[in-house]
Amino acid sequence: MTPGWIWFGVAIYVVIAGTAALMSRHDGEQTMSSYFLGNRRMGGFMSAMSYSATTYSAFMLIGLAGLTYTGGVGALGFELIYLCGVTLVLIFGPRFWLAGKKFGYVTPSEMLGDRYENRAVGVVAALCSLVFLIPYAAVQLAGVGYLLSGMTDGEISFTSGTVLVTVLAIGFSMVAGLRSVVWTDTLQAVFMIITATLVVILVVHELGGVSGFFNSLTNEHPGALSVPGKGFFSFSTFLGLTLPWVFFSLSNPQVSQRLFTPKTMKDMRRMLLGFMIFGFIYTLVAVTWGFAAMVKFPDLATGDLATPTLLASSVVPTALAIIVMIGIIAAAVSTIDSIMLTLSSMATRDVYSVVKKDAGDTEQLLVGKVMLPVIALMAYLFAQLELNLIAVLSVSASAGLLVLVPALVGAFFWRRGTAAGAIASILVAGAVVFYLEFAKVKFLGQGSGVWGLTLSVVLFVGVSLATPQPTGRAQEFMDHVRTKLADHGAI
Amino acid sequence: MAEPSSDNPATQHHQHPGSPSEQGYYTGVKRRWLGVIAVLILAAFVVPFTALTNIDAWYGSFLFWTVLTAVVIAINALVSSAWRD
Repeated sequence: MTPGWIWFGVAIYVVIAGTAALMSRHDGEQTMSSYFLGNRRMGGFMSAMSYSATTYSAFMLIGLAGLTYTGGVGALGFELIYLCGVTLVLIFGPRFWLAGKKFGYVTPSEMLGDRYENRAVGVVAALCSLVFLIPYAAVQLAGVGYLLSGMTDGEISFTSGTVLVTVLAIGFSMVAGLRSVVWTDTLQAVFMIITATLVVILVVHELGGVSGFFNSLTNEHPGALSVPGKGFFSFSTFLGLTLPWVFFSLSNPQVSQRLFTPKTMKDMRRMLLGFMIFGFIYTLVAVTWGFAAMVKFPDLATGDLATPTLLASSVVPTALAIIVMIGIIAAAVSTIDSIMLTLSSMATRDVYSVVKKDAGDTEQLLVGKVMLPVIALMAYLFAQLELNLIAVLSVSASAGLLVLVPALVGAFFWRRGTAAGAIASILVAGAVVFYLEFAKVKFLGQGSGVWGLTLSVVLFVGVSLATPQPTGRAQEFMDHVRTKLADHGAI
Repeated sequence: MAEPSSDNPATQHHQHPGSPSEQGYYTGVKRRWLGVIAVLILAAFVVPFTALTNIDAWYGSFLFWTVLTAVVIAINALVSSAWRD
């Protein structure tokens, strides 16, 4: 594929998305809440599309398609169980929203610090997120670098691809904070799903329609439509991979922060259901994509080659291949800019303002804006270094962030939960997850997420019971949420 | 997955439950739906590796996970239909 056409496609994408970002700006006083949370006045449809674009990264059409190619239908189960886990928003969405409105929280970690009456909890949660999510963003950058260079036989370099995505992510997030991220995300989400769906329909048609497609899978690839099937998805592999993702909507701050942003409960509902429908379609598309590569190109060396090979083949017309590639770049950019925005708000709200206690809202906002390109630059440098450590942190990101879950659940459901319990569960279990991933140890045959979650629950409960129950803000926090939930018809 | 309409929070969301006991009743109904989702997620782990492990066709695990997720989304729609501002 010639670089000229790819750059032409990228240029059109940049102009359209850039225009959306500029249109999202509006006059008015800027505060931390308006910049990072869209003033808590985001509409339902755009929230749903932005939540979708933030959640679904370049992983879907490259990683999930590759996982399907390698392991078969287990990849569908893995991703759909994650989607079922988004039901957590049904429980925690109204709780975050009510607490955020009442107490003015900007980040989920700030909420933890306040609820547990100790800002160190917020600092620890924010640092845990920074440690795991910057490498995760770096790997997203690297993914686009490899995709562009792979599709042009190196004529567009790895560095050019990563620079492109970094600059776009900085631009889309800095123009108007969450507002510009949401506007560009919406555009990108619609583009991602339409293009990917169209191409999959085309490819399945080329492969003999739906019945011919499934017949080929059943007859020529035994084990592709069952688990463990060809053996890749043993139950422990499936559990270790899936468990961290069940809690993704709660554990990952770039999505849980979105629970503070809807204008009304109706908007929250539209966000939840809009996302679930988007995710359902996009998952089926990505998995079908992987199966199509399995039918058409059964002898690839690794699953990672499934998407680039399919796009470079005659099955997909060049123009459509470029459009899908832009869709994959858009998926990466929309994930990275949201992570950058969330991490810069956490670095400011949970770390800087704790160190510098007299920092007002205006000063915090300024620091937050400075942090955006700093975090982007860190992700970019990590991507360039291509260190083994970065890959380890990225792979363990979902398992590592899982250790935040007991403290988050306890914040709303267990009055006895204490700051010491929260800190111990995050620090110790986080370190254990990192060690298990770094040493590539599968203790008793189970993945790091299983042990991380188990240990964090035990530590949170054990240490909390051994320390005095918080009685001030913690009680006010829980009483307020409980009372208001009933008023809003939530459970 | 049908439910008698008198129990269905979807049909009740325009009415504010009056007494605390009524509120408790509706909350109980909604919580039962969450229990159904928990069972479905558990089934999503267990059934494909047991009952469906030898069915190597589209009507095996592929269909099971797809339909199960559609049901979970429908329950989410049902329970959240009671949300009000």
